Amino acid sequence: MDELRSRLEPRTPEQQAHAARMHELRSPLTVLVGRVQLLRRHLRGGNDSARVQNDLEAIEAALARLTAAVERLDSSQRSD
Amino acid sequence: MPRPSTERSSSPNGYQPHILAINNDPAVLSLFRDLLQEAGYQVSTQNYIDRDLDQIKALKPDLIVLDYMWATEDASWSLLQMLRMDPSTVAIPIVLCTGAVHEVKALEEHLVSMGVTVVLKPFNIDQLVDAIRERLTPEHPPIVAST
Repeated sequence: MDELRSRLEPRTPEQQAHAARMHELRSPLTVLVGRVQLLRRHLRGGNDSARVQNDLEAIEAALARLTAAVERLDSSQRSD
Repeated sequence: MPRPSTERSSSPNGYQPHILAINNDPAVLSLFRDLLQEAGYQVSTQNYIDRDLDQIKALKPDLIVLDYMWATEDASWSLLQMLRMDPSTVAIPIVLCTGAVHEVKALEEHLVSMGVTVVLKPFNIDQLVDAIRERLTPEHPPIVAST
C-alpha cells in the first residue's frame, strides 16, 4: 500500500502545485458536467421547477468558482 | 464533529441500497446526493475532514463513492487505506472518482485487485450510476469506466 501511495502522490513541489491547480479546476468542472446532465433530465421530466432552479443555482456557483480559479491561475502565471 | 448527513428517497420497491459519498467539496457532495437519490439510493455524505472510520462503520453503507484527489493532501488515500485494512469495512465495494487520469490508469490493475472500481472525471452521470449498479451486483467484478 505504501509503495502504491508513493507512486500515486505528486513528488516535487511543482507536481504538487500542478495537482492542486488541477483539483481547483476539476471539482467545479465535475459539478458543471453533472448538473447540466441533471438539468437536461429535469427539463425533460416536465413540472419540476424546484429541481431545475436547484440545478441552475449549482451551475452558476460552479461557473463562479471556475472563473475565479482561472483568474488565480492567470495571475500566478503572470507573477512567475 | 459534524455528523454525516443521510437522506432517504422514496422507493416503491422496498430495499434501497445505502451509498456513502465522501468528498471534500460540498458542491460535489450535493451533486452526488441529488443524482443518487434520483437513481433510487439512500444516500449519506461525509467530508474528508471528518475521516471518521467509526462513523462509516455505524452507517453500514452498501457501497462507498470516494473522491480521490491527486493533490497535496493525502486524506483520500489514508481513508482508502483505512477502509481496506479494517475487517468490518474491507468488503464494502468502493467506487473511486478521480480526475488523476494518468496516475490512476497506471495503477488500474492494483486498484481492481483491491476491489476498487474507478470512474474518471469529468464523468457522465450514467457512468457513475452504472458503475454503482454493477458493484452492487455480487457477480460483477471491479471495473474501470472512462469517458
